[in-house]
Amino acid sequence: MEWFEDSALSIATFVPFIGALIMLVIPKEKEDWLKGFALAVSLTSLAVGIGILFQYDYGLSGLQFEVNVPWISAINTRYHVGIDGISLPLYALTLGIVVLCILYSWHHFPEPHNPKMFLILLLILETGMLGTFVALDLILFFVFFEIVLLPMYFLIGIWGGANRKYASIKFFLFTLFGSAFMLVSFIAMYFLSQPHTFDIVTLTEQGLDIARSTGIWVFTGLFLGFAIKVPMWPFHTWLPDAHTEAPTVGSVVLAAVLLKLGTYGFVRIGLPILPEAAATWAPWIGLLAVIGIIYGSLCCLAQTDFKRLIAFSSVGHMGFVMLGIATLTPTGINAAIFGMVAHGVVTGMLFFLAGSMHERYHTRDIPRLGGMINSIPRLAGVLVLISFASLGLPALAGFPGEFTSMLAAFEPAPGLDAAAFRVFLIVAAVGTVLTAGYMLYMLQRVAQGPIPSEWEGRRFHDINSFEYASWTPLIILTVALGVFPGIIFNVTNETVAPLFTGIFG
Amino acid sequence: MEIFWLLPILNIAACVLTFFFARSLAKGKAHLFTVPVVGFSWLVALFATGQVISGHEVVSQSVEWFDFGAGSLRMGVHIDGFAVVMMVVVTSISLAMQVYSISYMRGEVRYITYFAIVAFFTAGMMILVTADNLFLAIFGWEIMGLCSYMLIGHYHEDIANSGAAIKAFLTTRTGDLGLLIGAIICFWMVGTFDIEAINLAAFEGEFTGHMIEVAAIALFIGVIGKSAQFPLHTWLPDAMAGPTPVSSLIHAATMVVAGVYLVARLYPVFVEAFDVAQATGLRSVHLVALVGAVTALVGAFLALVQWDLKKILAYSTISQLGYMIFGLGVGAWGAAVFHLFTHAFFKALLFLGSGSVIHATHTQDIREMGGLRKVMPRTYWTWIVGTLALCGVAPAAGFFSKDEILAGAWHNSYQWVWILGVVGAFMTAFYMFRATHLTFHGEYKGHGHPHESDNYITGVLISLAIPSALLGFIGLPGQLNRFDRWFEPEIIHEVVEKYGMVKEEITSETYLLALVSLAVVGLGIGLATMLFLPKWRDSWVPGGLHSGWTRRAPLSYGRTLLENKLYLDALYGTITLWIRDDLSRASYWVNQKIIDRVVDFAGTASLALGRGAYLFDQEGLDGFYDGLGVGANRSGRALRSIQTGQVQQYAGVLIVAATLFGIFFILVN
Repeated sequence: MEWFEDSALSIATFVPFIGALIMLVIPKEKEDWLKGFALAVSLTSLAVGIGILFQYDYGLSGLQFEVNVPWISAINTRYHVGIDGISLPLYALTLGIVVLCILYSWHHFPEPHNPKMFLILLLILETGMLGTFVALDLILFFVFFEIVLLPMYFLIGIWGGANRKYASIKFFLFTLFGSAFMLVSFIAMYFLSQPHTFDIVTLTEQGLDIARSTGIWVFTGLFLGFAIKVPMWPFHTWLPDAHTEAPTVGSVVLAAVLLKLGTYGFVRIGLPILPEAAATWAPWIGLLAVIGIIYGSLCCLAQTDFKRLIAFSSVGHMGFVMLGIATLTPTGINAAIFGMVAHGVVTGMLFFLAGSMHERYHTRDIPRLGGMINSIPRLAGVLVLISFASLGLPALAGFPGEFTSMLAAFEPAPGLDAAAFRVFLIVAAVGTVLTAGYMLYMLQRVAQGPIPSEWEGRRFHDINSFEYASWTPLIILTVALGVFPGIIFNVTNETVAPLFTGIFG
Repeated sequence: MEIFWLLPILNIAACVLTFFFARSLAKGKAHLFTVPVVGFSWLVALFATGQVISGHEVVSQSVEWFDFGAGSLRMGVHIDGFAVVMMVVVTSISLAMQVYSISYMRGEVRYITYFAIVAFFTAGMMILVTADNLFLAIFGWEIMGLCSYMLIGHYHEDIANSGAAIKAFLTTRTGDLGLLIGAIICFWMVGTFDIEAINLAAFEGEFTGHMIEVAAIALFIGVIGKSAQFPLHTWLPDAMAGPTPVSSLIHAATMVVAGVYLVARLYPVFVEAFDVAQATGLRSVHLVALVGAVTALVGAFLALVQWDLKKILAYSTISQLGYMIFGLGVGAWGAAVFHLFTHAFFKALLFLGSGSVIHATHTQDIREMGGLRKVMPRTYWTWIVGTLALCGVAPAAGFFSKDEILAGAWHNSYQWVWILGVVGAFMTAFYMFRATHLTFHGEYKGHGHPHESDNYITGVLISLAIPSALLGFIGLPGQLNRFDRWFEPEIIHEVVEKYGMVKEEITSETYLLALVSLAVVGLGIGLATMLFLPKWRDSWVPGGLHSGWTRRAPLSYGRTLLENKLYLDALYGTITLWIRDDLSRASYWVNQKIIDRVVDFAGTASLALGRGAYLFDQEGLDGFYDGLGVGANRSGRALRSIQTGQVQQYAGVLIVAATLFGIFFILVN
């Protein structure tokens, strides 16, 4: 199986892109061909991904499926990809989510329709996201990181809601702004390393022999790039607009995968290469994280737009992820990766629900909704389940990540101010109450109560077969991750523990 | 006992089956799935009780669960006598209320969902009481919270009910933040979530610094929320919005005692942290005893002014939970757990009895009842058994359990708690007989013609009345006590021994204390009968109770205070609404008007800068860039038909920003 080891990652990553190129020549009118082809492409990629899951040696800590060949020798950049316990769960999540998105879209292409362009963009997006998770060269990482931007920009800008123009430009510029700083830091790392290299693995192993203050500045650049993507408070304002205006599938991908590119960047690049600077930054990151938790939850309470509410809830949930990262402990980082996957599954699912509700009611205005338990019982049942997962109920996916994050905050890495982190822990715990508050308040207005007079006598379709197909895996994962957190923890810890033990402070 | 781990799984399976297949396979008769399972669980629990009595060893089974970095976790059960007692409580009451519900919920909306959630709840409580580690226990704890939320909101079409459900969930969730933090502290102090290890570490003083106090206080906040202790008790009366059988299972017998269970389970932690034995004399505030005693009194006082039959029972439950908590707080572990055990039966009986009454009269207001003794004899006589047990009239079960708590307070030099407890006992007798007289005696004042409930309901009432009457005899005082000897876990026994917290022999003091509390209870019953028994009332209080002297200060102030529930609901309501409506809007205002304005401003400013740069680019550098730009322009033209933004300009911004940062970088270096 040598050939599989050598090529699996590249195949899984680039199949969607190649598929997108082929789709360019399929006539626009052959919609069924286009849909079928796109689904086949994403399934192929997923199949290779499943092969990787089977071939992956879960007992090893290092990188696997590694490929390292010259790429642009002029700037000493190599095509270096590989996968380990940190990237594997996110890689698998991405492969799965795209398939579900294509399934969900089947009869739901938003205006102005055009499945051909929509699916091509989605597949290019997939390659960008997959590539980011396996890239081990800073320039390669940057390229993938940026490839993601454009398709998403068009998905929002073309298929979005009424205010799509503003939202898409804001999304594009905001993240690009961060990327610029990130790129400068990448270049700085190149010139500050001896010998000069863009290789993440080499940089991690040999570290940067630089002054403390320089390290902090380099980290600042990375921080801006990643924190905007996460997004951390106060760099989050692109998110509610992007989510609200994006088409359903765009929101799902945005929530499930795109936000993780930022947190993943911290774990893959920021922390291991610049541990000292990370330790200086950590309390501030922790502070912004818990501010985000409280602030995001409070903003949720004020929302009347269902989608916007979920968007703000992401700010809070990603706060828990960042709190885990800020502790700089293996436990915290495990918690963060768990949180990323769980948030991807749960919030992705919530956006699917938002889309389906909008399809039925043609509004997302919470005060106008109500009584869904009586009018669309199954959909309402799923909504209740997923909402409880989102508010962090044990035995569902949201809990293990959040709890372990808080657990890690009690005992941050040596050298960090434990008292500060314990305060963060308490603030985060208060956040869990607020989270429950806005979720239940939402359910009370949307799912419970009598059917409002506006909708009385209207018959709504309950969950249809395409919705079942795209939701069932996520619902199963929501329960499975909650009951068996080892599905993620046992994979990540093998890599995280050796990589992050004793490198800080 | 070896198959206990299977029981929660079976109940969850029953829940899932009911949910998905009850409609198609059983024509909606959801109980066909859940009742056999809970019945089986009940038999297993009874059999296990026999095993424990005959000296069966503790069963510990666990499997690898997951490893999150700081430690690995196992999922497992730890079944000792205490766990078995709890299992008996859960399965008995759950079985009783499910059989009862077959009749009570017949024809109601969401019959299937109701049974499914009840089964899930039963599993949750089973997980809690058998869990060998705190992490798993939290699973059970929160599953119950979820089910409680759903069942309180069963009739969610009325916004008051969904509001009550939210209130219950959020109040307990507020307490839960303490539980989570307490569990986290225990983990870091001991290195594991394992309950036995935590107990041992606490017993041997292995917590560093003041961490044991912090952990105990945090955990106790969780207890206050879940077990409806003052000042977080306000959710429980509102939780009566759920169907009455739910109140009997969740809000009387099982979920609300989860907090009591937690204190009893982690007893060494609380004993050491709060100096329950008063051995060191270091700490003057005995938090557990104080909160419990205050709750016992507050609950009893609030029950006095209620007219809603279920709310009287709800406040009574709060008060009795207070007894259990202060029992633990004064070192009477066995008595408190015994009271938990007996209370489950007689309070479930009373709730189900009230359900029978409500079913017959279609009201919950005791002013619209009266005279039901004649038409509902079975309900009446079982209610009397439950009432006597609750008041603590010998030889009903409540007499032994409550009296032992009081004796324990006296024995461990908590005289102030003993006094509060005795006052509470007086109040209990008073409010229960007030309710009994108004409901069952005199003339019927309501509408329609109430009649006795069917055999499902009265059968269940009778089956619960028997243990309510007789169970006390296994918990006799002193050396006659069987309950402690059978069911007390090893570690608790060691703690109790170490501080000499239990009196071994029966002395004249024992009889004296029992006589005092019996006399006080008699006084309460007598006074209530004088004031409320219709036959006698008019001769004692001419013009009725609500005229004359009760209207005058200071009694009227007290009445106003109680009728407004000590203004706690108003306070919490104000705070919650302030956060929900005002603070949230203020945050969102900051988001839209300040943070986002900065972003928009930066955008506009860069746009201007970008235009300048673009101008410079076009005028100055176009020769060089034109060559590069051809390709970009072509693809750009293709995209322009669909895109609206001017990406080229922003690319200009990007370059400017990057250059500035780069220059800055070089300068800093």
